[in-house]
Amino acid sequence: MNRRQMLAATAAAVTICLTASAGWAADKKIGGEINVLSWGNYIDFALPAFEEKYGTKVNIDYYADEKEAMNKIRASGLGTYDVVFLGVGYEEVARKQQLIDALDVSKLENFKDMYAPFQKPKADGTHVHVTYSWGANGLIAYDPAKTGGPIKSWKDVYSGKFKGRIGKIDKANEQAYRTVFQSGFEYGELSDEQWQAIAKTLETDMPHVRTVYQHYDEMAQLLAAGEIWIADTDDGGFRQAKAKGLNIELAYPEEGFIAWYDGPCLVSQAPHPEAAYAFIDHMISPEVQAQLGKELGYAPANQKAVALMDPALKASLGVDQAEANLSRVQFQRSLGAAYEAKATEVWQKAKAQVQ
Amino acid sequence: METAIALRRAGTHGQLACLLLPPLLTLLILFVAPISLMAVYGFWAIDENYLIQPSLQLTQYEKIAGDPLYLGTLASSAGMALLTTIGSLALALPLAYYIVRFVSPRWRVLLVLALIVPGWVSVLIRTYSWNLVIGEAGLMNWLLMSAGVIDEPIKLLFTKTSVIIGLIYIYLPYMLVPIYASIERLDNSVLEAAENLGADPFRRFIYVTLPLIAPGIVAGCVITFIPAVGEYVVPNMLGGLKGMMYGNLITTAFSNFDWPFGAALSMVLLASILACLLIVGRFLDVNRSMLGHE
Repeated sequence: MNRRQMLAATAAAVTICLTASAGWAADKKIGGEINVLSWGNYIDFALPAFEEKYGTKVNIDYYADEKEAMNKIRASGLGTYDVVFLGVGYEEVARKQQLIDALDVSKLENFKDMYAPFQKPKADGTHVHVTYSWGANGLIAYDPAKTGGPIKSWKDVYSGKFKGRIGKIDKANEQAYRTVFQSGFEYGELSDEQWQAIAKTLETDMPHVRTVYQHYDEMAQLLAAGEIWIADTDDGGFRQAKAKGLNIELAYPEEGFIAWYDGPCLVSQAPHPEAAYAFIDHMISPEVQAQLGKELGYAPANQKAVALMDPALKASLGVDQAEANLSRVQFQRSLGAAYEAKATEVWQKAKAQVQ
Repeated sequence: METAIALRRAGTHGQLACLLLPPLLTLLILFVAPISLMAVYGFWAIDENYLIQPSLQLTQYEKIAGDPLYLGTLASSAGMALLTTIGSLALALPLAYYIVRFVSPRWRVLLVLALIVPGWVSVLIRTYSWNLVIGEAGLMNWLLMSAGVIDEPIKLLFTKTSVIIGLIYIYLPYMLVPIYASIERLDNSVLEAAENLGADPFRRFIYVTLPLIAPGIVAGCVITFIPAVGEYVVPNMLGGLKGMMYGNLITTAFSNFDWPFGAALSMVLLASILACLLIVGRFLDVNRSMLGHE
């Protein structure tokens, strides 16, 4: 063997070794199981790929809203769940309640590919969640065949033409910010006078409302049954309803709307931290993020997912304007227990007055 | 001799204590402890971060007393539960009477089972099925419109009436079973004696049968009324805005992390139900003394 042959053989051997080790790393099995708290029908499509890749079984416990999720963590005790999906400020509440830990994002290979706003840490420099999905809320879904034309604003909704045909989401916080925009206020903490104005607006609106619903699946059923023609929605809820074949349109109210985000957090004292990090990284991978748009109609938080989407999906999710939209929109945040208590009180009273 | 009797007595007491200990402990752990804890929570509060502050205060009860929303909703829930109880009684009494008096023993059990078996299915599913029946595009409107009885669909869903219908449907078996049991236990010779003394069927039912089955009726009313007051699934699914009940307020408080407020609301409901039971108990005693029973 001459020198050239020797070098070629060495290069070949190194290449084989590198390829083999890369393959080993890619197929690294963690095994065991992981306990995840999530919304129903939210992450399920992404689980088979994770389970196959890491050999880790995912046990999902579903919840109806973030508060229920946090109550479940408290009730079952730390050391039970590994990952919880929280959003729109609830991750801050959960952190204050010491239910979740700060995340070490250097352990997340896909984190560097997130849109810039989603890479920003909290004010104290920590990350407590990663964004899995995001979009707009405070929107209006309507059936144009029934309304006889487009709906553009809350003024249109409560014009009096659709009395008894409007559905509202039964969430005090959401009703608070929808009415904040409708009343011409800014999103954030409110004065007593502003709360009174909001209560007054709701009082005027409620006699027009046919019913309230707990989630957007219910909204789709009510729209499909013709019980309601106009409904509170977010963009994902609308797209899911539309995908079921409903003849509905989406309106971004002229008075204003808000953005939301949602994502996995690491539960304090997670019993399977390694699998938890692998799971969180999987949920923000380009493949899962692209599939998320297809399955549930949410725009991706990972920029690399855009390349994996077909043009029709990209157009329907408006991903080309994602960066511009992200720099413009205002995101929801936790406004504290006193704000929430007031919002609940105002909303309960608004509901009770139509009894 | 006396020693032997004392030992035997001690042995019997020991066996009795062994027998009673498990149910007493179960009752203590599963009933007394959570209710006591709830009573304590009602005097606490939450801070700005939703964390519970265990400091003794009456804030939650002041909030309930100071806002007509809470006691008003409790009163309207009691009204709806009362309507449910009356509706269930009106259906269960003749049904149970017919089954016991006119159906052969062979078919009796099957008929009662047929009425109870739907109760084994989840409340959620049974309530949702009503949604499909009474909805605007539901079965009822389709049948009535197909038959030409109505031109426009009836808007029954999301009204108080639809909540009452749903509640009666859910709680009918609770009313039926104790009434059925009390009618079945009726002593025929007493009814025959009334007949021999010249009582017609109506008078026999009012003056003999009804007082004898009164305990079954009261039991049915109590076990229907109590859960119906605190109901939240049926009003949520069938009532929409019109059917909000006290149970929905409790659910909202707990789901908002406000456990102290939820606990205080629950304690007010518990106290109200206990007060109702005391009144019913007193009324029963009066009835018994009037009828000459023990």
